[in-house]
Amino acid sequence: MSEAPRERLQASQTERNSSEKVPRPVATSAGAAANAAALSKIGEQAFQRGELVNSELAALTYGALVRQLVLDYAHPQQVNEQLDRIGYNIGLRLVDDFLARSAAPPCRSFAASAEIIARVAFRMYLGVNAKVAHIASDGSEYSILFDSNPLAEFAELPEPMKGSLWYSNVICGVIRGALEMVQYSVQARFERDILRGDDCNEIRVSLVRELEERVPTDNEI
Amino acid sequence: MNAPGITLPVPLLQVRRPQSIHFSIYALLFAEVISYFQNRVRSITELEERLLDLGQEIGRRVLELVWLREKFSRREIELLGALRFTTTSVWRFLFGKVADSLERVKDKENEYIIVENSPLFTRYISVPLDLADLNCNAIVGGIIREVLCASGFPCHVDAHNAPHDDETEYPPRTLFSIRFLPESNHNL
Repeated sequence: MSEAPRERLQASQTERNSSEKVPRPVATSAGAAANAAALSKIGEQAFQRGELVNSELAALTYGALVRQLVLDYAHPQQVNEQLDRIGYNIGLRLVDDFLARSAAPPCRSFAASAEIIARVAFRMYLGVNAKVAHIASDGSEYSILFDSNPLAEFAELPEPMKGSLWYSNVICGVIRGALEMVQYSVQARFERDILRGDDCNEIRVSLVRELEERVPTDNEI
Repeated sequence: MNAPGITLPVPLLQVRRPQSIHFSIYALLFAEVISYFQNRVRSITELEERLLDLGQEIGRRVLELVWLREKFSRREIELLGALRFTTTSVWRFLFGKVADSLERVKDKENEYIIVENSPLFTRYISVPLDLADLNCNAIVGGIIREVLCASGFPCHVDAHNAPHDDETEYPPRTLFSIRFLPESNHNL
């Protein structure tokens, strides 16, 4: 276990070295397309660097979990909430992993986090391409669109649940948890899901408020 | 776009593209699965049983999928064949490698052991001291059990921790002991 921090340190150093080779994203709006392409590349590189597992195994494991939740809870609405909570717990920890391994540039505003999540995080962790759309004019809401969803690979919703269960709701929870750790309290919810017969998956993320960093009250100081 | 009934987006047999997801997110998902069950059980045994059940749900589908892809034209009808299929094809599907060894228990007709030196699932699962007996690889045990049961060889599978020679190495080696029920001996 004591090996872990050293390994991580080495990993982050190599990442820093390798990140110098990728073109730095351009901050201006004119360079938005170039920016997106650069971020996609960062995501792809992080994905290639990472240790990978079979996505079908993940789909089956996740499916078994959802099935268990459906058995344990009476209403699909409660299942959605549980999935969101599970995702939230994952997100709280995943953000550390992301910051350590992704080599993504820092996001300076809430709106900038959209591209990072869609281009880098989705690519890096799920191996899928996602894009940002429908950004609100004040920058406090955006949608993330993605076509293929490895979690839902073999899934089909039974007819009675088509209107109520968001099968991959765990992703919303992950986004919520991860953004909360970088001081953005957000709401994330599915708007469209291919499993329900929509033409793509859409997650709507809206900013609730920015959290302030506080010094934790610690008696030992 | 969607005809009524079953619509598979991609024919299963054609899916040959290497599809993967990042290990970090899978490890965290698995940790959450454990803590979900942990809050709903009263004892370690019960927790392992729940994980075993979950593994069986996965195992049934793994068997179908691996069979469809690799052994489309034949079925294992011998016990050893089914065991080898588990330690090679199924193992490769689950962990990208074959199992470290498959042994038969001395003096026992119906007991076998699969050894896995670096179990993937529990690499980032640290078990608190008061739950020292817990082995979260019970979920893999469940997968193995259902793969064998659904192949026609009913059995019980237990997962045990077996520390490496160097005890600080983590995660500890895992032994899956498989005890076949008498009715699985078709050829005796």
